[in-house]
Amino acid sequence: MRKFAVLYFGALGIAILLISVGFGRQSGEVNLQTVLQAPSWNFWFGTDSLGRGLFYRSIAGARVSLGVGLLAAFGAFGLGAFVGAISALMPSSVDRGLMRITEVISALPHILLLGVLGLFFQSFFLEPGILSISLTLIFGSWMSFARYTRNLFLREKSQLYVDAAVATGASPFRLILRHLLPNVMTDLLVFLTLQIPHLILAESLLSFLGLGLRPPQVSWGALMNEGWKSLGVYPHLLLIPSGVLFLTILSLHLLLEEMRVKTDPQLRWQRFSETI
Amino acid sequence: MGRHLDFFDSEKLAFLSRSLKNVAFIFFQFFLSFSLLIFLTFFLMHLMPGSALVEDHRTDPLVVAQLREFYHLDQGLWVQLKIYISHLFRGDFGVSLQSPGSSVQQLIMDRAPTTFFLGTVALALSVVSSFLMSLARILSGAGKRWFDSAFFMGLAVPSFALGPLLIWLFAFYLNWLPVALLETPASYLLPLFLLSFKPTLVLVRTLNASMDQSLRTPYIQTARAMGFSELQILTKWALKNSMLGYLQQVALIAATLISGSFFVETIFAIQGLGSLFVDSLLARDSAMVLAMTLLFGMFVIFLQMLANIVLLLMDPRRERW
Repeated sequence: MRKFAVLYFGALGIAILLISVGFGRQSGEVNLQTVLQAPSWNFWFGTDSLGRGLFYRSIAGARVSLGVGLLAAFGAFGLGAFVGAISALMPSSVDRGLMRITEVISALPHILLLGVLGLFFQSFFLEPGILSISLTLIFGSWMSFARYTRNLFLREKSQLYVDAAVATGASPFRLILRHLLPNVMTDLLVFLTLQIPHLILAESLLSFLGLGLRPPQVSWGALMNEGWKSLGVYPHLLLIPSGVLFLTILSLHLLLEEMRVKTDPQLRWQRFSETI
Repeated sequence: MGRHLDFFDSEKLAFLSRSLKNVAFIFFQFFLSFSLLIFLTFFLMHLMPGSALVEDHRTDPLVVAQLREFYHLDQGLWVQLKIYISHLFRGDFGVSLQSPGSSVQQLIMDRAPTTFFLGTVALALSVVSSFLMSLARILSGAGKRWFDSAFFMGLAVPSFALGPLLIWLFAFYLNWLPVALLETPASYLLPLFLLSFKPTLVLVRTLNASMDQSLRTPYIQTARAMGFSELQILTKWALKNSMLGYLQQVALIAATLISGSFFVETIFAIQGLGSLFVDSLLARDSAMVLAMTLLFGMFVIFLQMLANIVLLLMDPRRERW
């Protein structure tokens, strides 16, 4: 299964590279002679209502969906880590206030929060685009990062090396960047990668509901939104993008599970003890 | 033994007063969270440039001005907040911008029963099926690994991609079930399945993890050595000790169910709160969005408070958060 995941991402990466340098561009253009075809040799995934090849569009959508997912993950990571670090290192009144706000925001159902924020950013940028959806996801998903970072920092704060750094006269800034952050970075990065599938799914769901990216922009969710309108007659327009999305999320989960087991000694010991 | 019969035991009284204090603290947290929620949603909605009123440029500017006055949009933010809160305490959420003539609370009340019914049934379904699946997994012995990979695959399925696939399969290809709406009993099948799909798997994962953990403990080994059957061990000890984390997860599942209702009601054209919320977002109906955000947020915070109180009363080890 892990081999499948690696192969899948390899193929997807190569396909994205190929279309980025202009491969197969004519199959992605409007062509009224090849409207709404079923999958065939010429068009592997069939064509949509404007004659554009769905294979090309799925790959182009992959570029946007994966890009937005990664961008949002790193953005939410940055914002959340910032809030979490401040919360852990500030006096307890600030800490309590920040954590209360974080808690209230994360109590809201995720899609509801994303919808409201999406509306906010869309009217800010006048039209839905990659930037507005990324900002929506960042401001809608930083809470778990903040809580996690805060916990890590609180754990590290009581360590002896922090006292030593303070005693030698390290400024708070230096303390965070040179001493605390390197010690929690591995845990934070593992947590970051675990959030990526959620963000990709959130973008797709928003675009599917019409609250995220809209045509002419392509993402898997936007493709599903288009395909949804003709599900009864041309099911391939919907089923193929959702299948691609499923395979992507499954492969991501497989890779992440492997990584989680590799980085967690306790889990590794459990696996080992089950085999004997 | 006499200790348990003595009601005025000082130890017990101290525990009771501590519990009461903790419950009061939980209530205080609830109100704090709720007022924060009001502030956050209000400022988010009102700092937004553009609104439903300026969308259509053909409207007479005079009419727009009158409408703005009617919705108090011409006044300062603090005045608006004061008006808003005073209306809120009277249970008045204002008039919907999208469909003028019907008040927000009327629209919400009209649609709430459907969503509430679907959500409750889906929650019950996921609780029951998660127990059954988890027990089946443990009792299957060597088949545990197959169960695990099936759950793993299931968690990777995006339920909003599964929905259209099932609609296509059962409604169009096989023609067994209706495509949309809730008219016959059969039309409830697909929405309920989709709504409870993800929650079930999440609950199963929680239950499995804690069951695995408690099955490794010495008291289970003792019970095994005493010759209890595997089913007895599971239901009497393992399950009982896994309940705390499970209950917490059930409270969190409510939020997942609300998120799920958004897309399930949209794709099945069900007249519920989820589809109402998506529609008002698309129409930029800020009064409606604000009211529903508050309502859903309050509901989730309330459920978490309930779960906290129940946990406090259930778990003797837990004294304070």
